[in-house]
Amino acid sequence: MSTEPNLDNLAAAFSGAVGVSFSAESSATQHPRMCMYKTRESKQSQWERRKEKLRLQREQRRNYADVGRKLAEEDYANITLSDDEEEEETMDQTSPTSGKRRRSKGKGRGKKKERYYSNQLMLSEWLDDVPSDLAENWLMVPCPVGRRTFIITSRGATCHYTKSGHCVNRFQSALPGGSSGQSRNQHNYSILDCIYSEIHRTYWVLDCMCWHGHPVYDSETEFRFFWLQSKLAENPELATGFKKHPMKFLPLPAFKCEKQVLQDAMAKPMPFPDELDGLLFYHKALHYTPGVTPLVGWLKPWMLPEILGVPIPDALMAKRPPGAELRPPSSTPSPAKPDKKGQNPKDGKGDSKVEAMEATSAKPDKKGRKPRNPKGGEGDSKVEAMDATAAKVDKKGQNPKAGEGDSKVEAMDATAVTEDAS
Amino acid sequence: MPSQSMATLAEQAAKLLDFSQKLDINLLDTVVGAMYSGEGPEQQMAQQILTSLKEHPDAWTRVDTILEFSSNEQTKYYGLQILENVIKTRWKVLPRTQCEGIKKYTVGLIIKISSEKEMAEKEKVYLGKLNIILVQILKHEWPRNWPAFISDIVGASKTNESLCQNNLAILKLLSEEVFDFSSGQMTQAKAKHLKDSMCNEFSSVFQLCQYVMDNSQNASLVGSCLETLLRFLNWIPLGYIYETKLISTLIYKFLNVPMFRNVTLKCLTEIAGVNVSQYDQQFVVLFTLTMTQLKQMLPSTTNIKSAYANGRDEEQNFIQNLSLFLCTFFKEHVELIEKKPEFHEILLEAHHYLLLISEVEETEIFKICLEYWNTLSSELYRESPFPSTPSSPLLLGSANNSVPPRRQLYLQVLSRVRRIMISRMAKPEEVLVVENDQGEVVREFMKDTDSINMYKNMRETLVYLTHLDYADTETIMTEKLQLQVNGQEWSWKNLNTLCWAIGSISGAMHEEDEKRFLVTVIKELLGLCEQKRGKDNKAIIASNIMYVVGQYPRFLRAHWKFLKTVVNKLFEFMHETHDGVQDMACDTFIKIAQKCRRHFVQVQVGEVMPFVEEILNNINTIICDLQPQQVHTFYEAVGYMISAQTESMVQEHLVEKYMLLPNQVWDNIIQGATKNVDKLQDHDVVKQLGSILKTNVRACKAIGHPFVIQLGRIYLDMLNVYKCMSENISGAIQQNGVQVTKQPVIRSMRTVKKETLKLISGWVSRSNDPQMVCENFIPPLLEAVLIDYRNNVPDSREPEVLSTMATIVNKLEGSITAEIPTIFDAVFECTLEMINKDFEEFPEHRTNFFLLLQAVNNHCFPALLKISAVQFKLVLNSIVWAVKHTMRNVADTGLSILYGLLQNVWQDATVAQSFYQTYYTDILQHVLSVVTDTSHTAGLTQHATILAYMFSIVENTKITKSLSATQGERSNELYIKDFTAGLLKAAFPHLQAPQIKLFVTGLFSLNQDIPAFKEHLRDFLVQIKEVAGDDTTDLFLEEREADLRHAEEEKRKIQLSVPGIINPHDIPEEMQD
Repeated sequence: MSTEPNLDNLAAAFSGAVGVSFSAESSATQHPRMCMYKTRESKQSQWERRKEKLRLQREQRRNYADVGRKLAEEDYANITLSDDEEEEETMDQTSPTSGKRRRSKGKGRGKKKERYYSNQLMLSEWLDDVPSDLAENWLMVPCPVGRRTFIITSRGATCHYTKSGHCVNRFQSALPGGSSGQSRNQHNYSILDCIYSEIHRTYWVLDCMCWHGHPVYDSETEFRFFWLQSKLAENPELATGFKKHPMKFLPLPAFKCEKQVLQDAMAKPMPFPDELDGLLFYHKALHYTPGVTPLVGWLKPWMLPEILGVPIPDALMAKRPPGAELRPPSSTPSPAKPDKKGQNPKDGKGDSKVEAMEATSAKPDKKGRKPRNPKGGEGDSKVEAMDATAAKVDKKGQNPKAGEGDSKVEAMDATAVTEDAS
Repeated sequence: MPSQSMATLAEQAAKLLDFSQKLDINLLDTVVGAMYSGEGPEQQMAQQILTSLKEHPDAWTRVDTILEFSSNEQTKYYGLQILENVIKTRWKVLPRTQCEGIKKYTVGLIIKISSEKEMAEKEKVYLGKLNIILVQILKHEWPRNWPAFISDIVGASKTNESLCQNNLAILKLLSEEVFDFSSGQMTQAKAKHLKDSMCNEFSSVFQLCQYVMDNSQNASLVGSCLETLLRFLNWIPLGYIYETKLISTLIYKFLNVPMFRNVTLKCLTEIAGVNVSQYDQQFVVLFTLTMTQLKQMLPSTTNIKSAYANGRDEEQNFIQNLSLFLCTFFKEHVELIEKKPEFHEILLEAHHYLLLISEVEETEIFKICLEYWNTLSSELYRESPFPSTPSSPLLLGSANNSVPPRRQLYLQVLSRVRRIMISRMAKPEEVLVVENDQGEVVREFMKDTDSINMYKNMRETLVYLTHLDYADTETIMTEKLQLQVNGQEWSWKNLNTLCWAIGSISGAMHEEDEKRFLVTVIKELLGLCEQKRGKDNKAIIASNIMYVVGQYPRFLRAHWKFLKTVVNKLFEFMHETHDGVQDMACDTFIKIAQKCRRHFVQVQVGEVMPFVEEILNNINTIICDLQPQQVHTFYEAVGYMISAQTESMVQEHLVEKYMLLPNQVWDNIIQGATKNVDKLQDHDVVKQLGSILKTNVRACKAIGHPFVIQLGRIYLDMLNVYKCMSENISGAIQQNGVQVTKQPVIRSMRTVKKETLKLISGWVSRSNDPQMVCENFIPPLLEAVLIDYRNNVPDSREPEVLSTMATIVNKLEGSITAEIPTIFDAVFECTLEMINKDFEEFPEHRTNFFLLLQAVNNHCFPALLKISAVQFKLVLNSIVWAVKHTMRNVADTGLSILYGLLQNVWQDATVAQSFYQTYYTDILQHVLSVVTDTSHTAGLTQHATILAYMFSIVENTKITKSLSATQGERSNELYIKDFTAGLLKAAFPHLQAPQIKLFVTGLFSLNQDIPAFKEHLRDFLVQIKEVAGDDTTDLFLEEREADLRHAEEEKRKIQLSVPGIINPHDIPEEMQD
């Protein structure tokens, strides 16, 4: 199809330029290494953004717990829908296709309300730059195929909202605050982040933001996961659907990201009957922050061998879409010009240092991290001295550009970042 | 308190209605006061008293007292209402002396009031009503009993200016009554007579007008005169207009006077609108003089847009009238101006005005201009359908020579019109979010709103304009896009408008040009998207990009890689949380899927599998953030792709994969329900079922007949679920009453039933193998659905059962004839039971019931002949019942079934005879009763068709048996004539025998000419409203009779020309060899 370079460029530009609210890295888009066109150059690399986010988390706390409570109480008047974005122009017109006048008979449950419930979930980016501290500081959660759901229980009902804030269902559940039999106390509410499996009528709980009126937005991932597991365990009736509460709520397990642990987890049957959709990687120190964050990563199972060097069973590998190729990671953090360069990463020089990232999946033992070539020595073993120790020396984060190879620089810095963070 | 005053009121009423006593005018004033300012029961009481007084036959005798002595305006007005009423309905039966009295009294009163300027001004409303009453009297009296009316009024006018002004108003009213509103108010013969009288006497009226225009200095008199003249212009003999100095008087004397310019311009518009050829010179003069005046009044440099925006009403009207004048003139006579080069300058000036007016922000004015631009551009295109810009560089040198001369003349104008169309392009579609009966929020695409029609017209115009010069269109659009990018014209509204315009000319350019243009447009828009900050901005720009791209399927089809990028981007947008983006993505996706469907099932260059496979592999992920109704849209879109797969094995495989997800959920529910049927009462389960069925409905809509593989898979389970839902609902209603149907869970259960029926009828209507449908799908359906329908309580019967059956009958036609008795057994009587009590309850069942009957009559008529006589009678009664409805759609269906049935019966000679014997007079009687009922006037055309048909078949000797046992020796034709006359005489005793005789004659002589037949009925309807008395002169019965005789002869002539149509015994001797 290269007969029309003009149109290929147009398609490339199209793929890159058109967007609304997602950052280009959101895992709702294609994996950056799979895009037909590698055009989305964000200003910062993923590791830089991780660093930035963790810094922000310490500095400016947005009171998400407060927003959550107001949502539960349906106290919309006091919710300020602020965006982190710059001031937006406002005009009284709508887009050509969404131009709608709402003419609903009956009560005015309009679009308005949806605005408050949209964007309440913490969403992932593709795991592209593999963090060097993956093994120590990250947790992996396997996800079944299903719909991502924002669950709020309050005032005797459980509400299921989509990402965009649409209320899909209201029902009775055994969650605290989720059925009419319970106390209607205004503090009796819970907020969960789930994946809904329609076939099995099960909510697989990913994360917990609030349980029985106790907000845990500002707690670190590790604690939230622990809290979630123990609370669900305390309420065994949640795990069994019965007539009054037909929906089940079950926790998803979290695994450490040591290579062997991951490998074992992948080899065993999943705790859910549904197909495995993908894996989420949470940074342990992350608070629950609505929106797309680089501190939650997403991978499809078949990407594991190539990106993390973790082997997976053939059955899972068979799910790889025919023709799906992962390009080697781009190691130039500087934005390339979308139209000319960088479409074919192979022309880049330092690009073939694919395996540079392997350091991260190296043996977890702290001292002797040895870079390994996961492909068992085939191909060019220009595996860099990704030595974390080298990076540790670099604690102060001197200008990494001083280093020689680009990819090396990147890896070193990534380590430095996480060191800083912890 | 109120009860006391009520009691007194009732007492008073008795006094007012007692005509032996003198009228107590104060008492009447009190009652009228109570009627206008009282409230509650008191007011109702007052109203009752006044109504019964008004309806009293002697009420009119009180009018003079009321008018003379009452000082209350409202009471006087009430008095005039009584007067008007008596004139309209009982004039003929009043003694002549009384008529004369009323006439004199009214005229005297009018003269008295209108002679004095102040009084006429003060009593304006009262005087207006009196004028109307006078005109009502005139309709009876003039010209026969009052031959001198016109000369009287013209003569009187010259005595006094104020009186003259009112007289002109009376003449205006008379003109309107006679020429504009006579239909349905007067018989045809009478209206014709009055028109002729007016034309004959017009010269004196015209002289009066001219006299006033030439001599009067009284502005309000001149104003009235012009208003009156305006009413005359559409009917007066043309000589008065074109062979007098009227045109130049209007233009020179009045057009430039601000207070007269609007009415003058309206008069000129009327004159310009006349389409005759013998006055060409006058039309040219009309145009040039008007333009010369116009340039002085309104310099061509005026910014009309802002002048209009800041103008007063009167000025705004002037702009509108000017646009009407110009458009009307151009439409009728532009070629007179075009063919003379010396007028070209003035012609372009006139177009310049119209261009300026086209910028005015007022929809009505824009519509006027748009209509003209549309005509102009389409004519220019049709004259020579080739672009004026040469496509071959060889012709460059002679570019201008190749442009047709007429187009050459308008080149500049057209370019400006293009600019206007592009900057004002209307919104292409209207999406409304509404809540349906089941409480679900759904999006509806509006089809027929004003703004959509506007879009269609503008689009058409712009497409013609693009054909005329695509380069210019492209230049303007690119330029406007630049102004968006550089911020000068940036706003959401402007961007939307521009993108609608860009999308509207899809296909109007050559493919290569289109491609080049589109690449530029998309690049600019992408740049804009990167440049603007904020989600709202980005969402608007993204939506516009997607809109433009979706409008150009030819481009997408030619560039797979780009198409794929677009679709992947849409999938990305399906996860967007910003308001409206998901909807936009789904709407664009379905649009693209429909137009490019084949490209998704082929393996494209550089791909390993057809893209639809990729979609199906990832469908879970793609739709996981969509709302249910968006998911349904998505499924429909993918369905279109699958429908493009022609290899049936491959297609089946695709359908299976496509329905995998909903089928898994479905199977789970069915399995659960098999173990424990109570599961089907769980609200969530019911909702899931509804949603799955909706997905199936949409998928079936897209895939059509091949969906059979999926339908077959779930069919029997689905019918069982249907039965189960239905029993649940029925049980709940029996237990808790009808109000239980408002409960969410019951509503969801009804959704399941409705969607099941929708799926079945949707599929059947798209199926292509009637035999297979009949054998495999119909029997279980009849068993599950129909038996359930009959056994249910009425409130839980779904009207969709009837419409589904109608759809099936319409589709399968003869193949289903054998099943009709079964269907009737199940649905006919029990539905009839529901709707035969009144005309309102169960409106949907009503409508659908008759639609089913219609379908059966149209396609399975033999089945109707096989049912028992009792049932057939029931069918016929129900048709008559339908005809009697005032619900338009039901009555219309009834009439069309009746007409169809009569025709079907006619085809079958054996049945026909006994059918007519049993039912003919019955049907005739019912139809006549409906025709003469004024609440059914809307169905007049259909009534006329049926009656004409019925009368024409008895004329024919094909009905061999007597229609009645009592008709003796009379022929059927004669018998029916007598029968009809008898019916009418009994129903309308106030009509005279000659009136009825003439009407019946007409029913026969006009029965081959439906429009004339209809007018004949209309005349009769006018007559039954009036009590005619002995005086039938103004019905012009003789003239009418002559007309009918003439019609009869014509009809016979036509019949004679068709060999064999006339019985050999009736053919005149000389024609037989």
